[in-house]
Amino acid sequence: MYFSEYLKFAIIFAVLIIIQVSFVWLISISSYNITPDLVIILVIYIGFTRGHIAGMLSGFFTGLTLDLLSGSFIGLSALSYSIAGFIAGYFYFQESSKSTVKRSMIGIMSLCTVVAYSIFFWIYYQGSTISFPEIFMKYVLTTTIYTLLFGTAFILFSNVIETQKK
Amino acid sequence: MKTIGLFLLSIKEYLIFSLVIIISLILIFSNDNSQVRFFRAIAVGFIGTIQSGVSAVPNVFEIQKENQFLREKNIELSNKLSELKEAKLENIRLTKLLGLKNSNISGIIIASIVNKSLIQARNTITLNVGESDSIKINMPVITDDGLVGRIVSTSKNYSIAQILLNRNMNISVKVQRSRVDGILNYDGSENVTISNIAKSADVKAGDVILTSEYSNYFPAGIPVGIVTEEGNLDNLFKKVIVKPLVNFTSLEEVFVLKRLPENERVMLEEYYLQK
Repeated sequence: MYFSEYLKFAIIFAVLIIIQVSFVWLISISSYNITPDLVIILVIYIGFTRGHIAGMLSGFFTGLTLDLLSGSFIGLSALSYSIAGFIAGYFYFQESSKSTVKRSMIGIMSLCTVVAYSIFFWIYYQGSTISFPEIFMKYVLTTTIYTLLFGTAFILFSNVIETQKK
Repeated sequence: MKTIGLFLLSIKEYLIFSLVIIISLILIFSNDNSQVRFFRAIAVGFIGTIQSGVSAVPNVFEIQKENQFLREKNIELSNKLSELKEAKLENIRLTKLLGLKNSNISGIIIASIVNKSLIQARNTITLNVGESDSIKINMPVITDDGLVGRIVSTSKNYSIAQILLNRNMNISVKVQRSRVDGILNYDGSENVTISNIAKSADVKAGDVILTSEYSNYFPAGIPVGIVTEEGNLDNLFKKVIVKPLVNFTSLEEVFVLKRLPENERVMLEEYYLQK
């Protein structure tokens, strides 16, 4: 990646983190405050289009920023986002404009989000009375589905941009 | 050398991944909350099992040296302990002489909520008061309805408070009617639960829950919530579900109590735990 590209992603991450921390709670659903995770979408996208290293490092630093902003359990988002970015890197495809690969991105996003949130919520709810299947149904699946709605919109949007560039 | 370099280069993704994971785990384990304590307990238990197996094999060369060291350490610690006992007694005498109950400041600060952050059950609120308003970490936050939470982070003009609906909040509480004690924590739903309540304890739906004298952070007697449901958790304990008195979704203004944990009490408790 070139410096200008790093800068571009840093600015987008900063904007997404501000939105995630300050405004996303306005669209939270259910009594469990389920919110979409806009930041992880970009982490997965970077892993998918730029490879393992870019994916996991962007995941680590954005996760750490979110941890610092939340004021508790520092390192947990950094861990789960890094893993999400790393897994996305396995599907790294340099000619990512190919439609078959683009289509599979929703599946990749689901996989990465489920793994990241399973780790996140499993650690987060250690010591509580909630069992893992309950955590998975109440938090992991719901957050993944809600995030995927925004992820799908993001993929469609990036497709439109790429088509216009051509 | 070149081959090793090439090999390392070929697995650089995995090396960086391992590094990132190790840093994340170090950061996680540097936290001090119930989840991490749970993992530490497992890790300590696991390591302890291995070490107890290894330590069964005696190292005869080290035993004499270790014995000598332990004898010296024992004498040193005995001296320190008697010095500490003397210092404590002196402290009690001087405190009585000066007529001081504690060193806390009284009063409240009115604050408005400027942001609510509901990130994956780590619910916090941002207040428009900070260090310039004498806000300090661990000060309790309340409303006229009851307990809201406590300050966890401060800047010059703003502060962040953890609310009751946060997995890192563990509060010593008691039932107002029957004086039964327990630990209140958040289980991830819209209510909070009380743990450590014996099956035979007298707790009923409708009972008012207050902060107890055992809490380091909160003054006793602040209303927290009302028991909505009680049932058996297992053969020994009850599961008591409590609805907070404060409505966090419509919360706009709070009061910060200018009260800090009693240093002497915290130090004594920490000293006892370290013994």
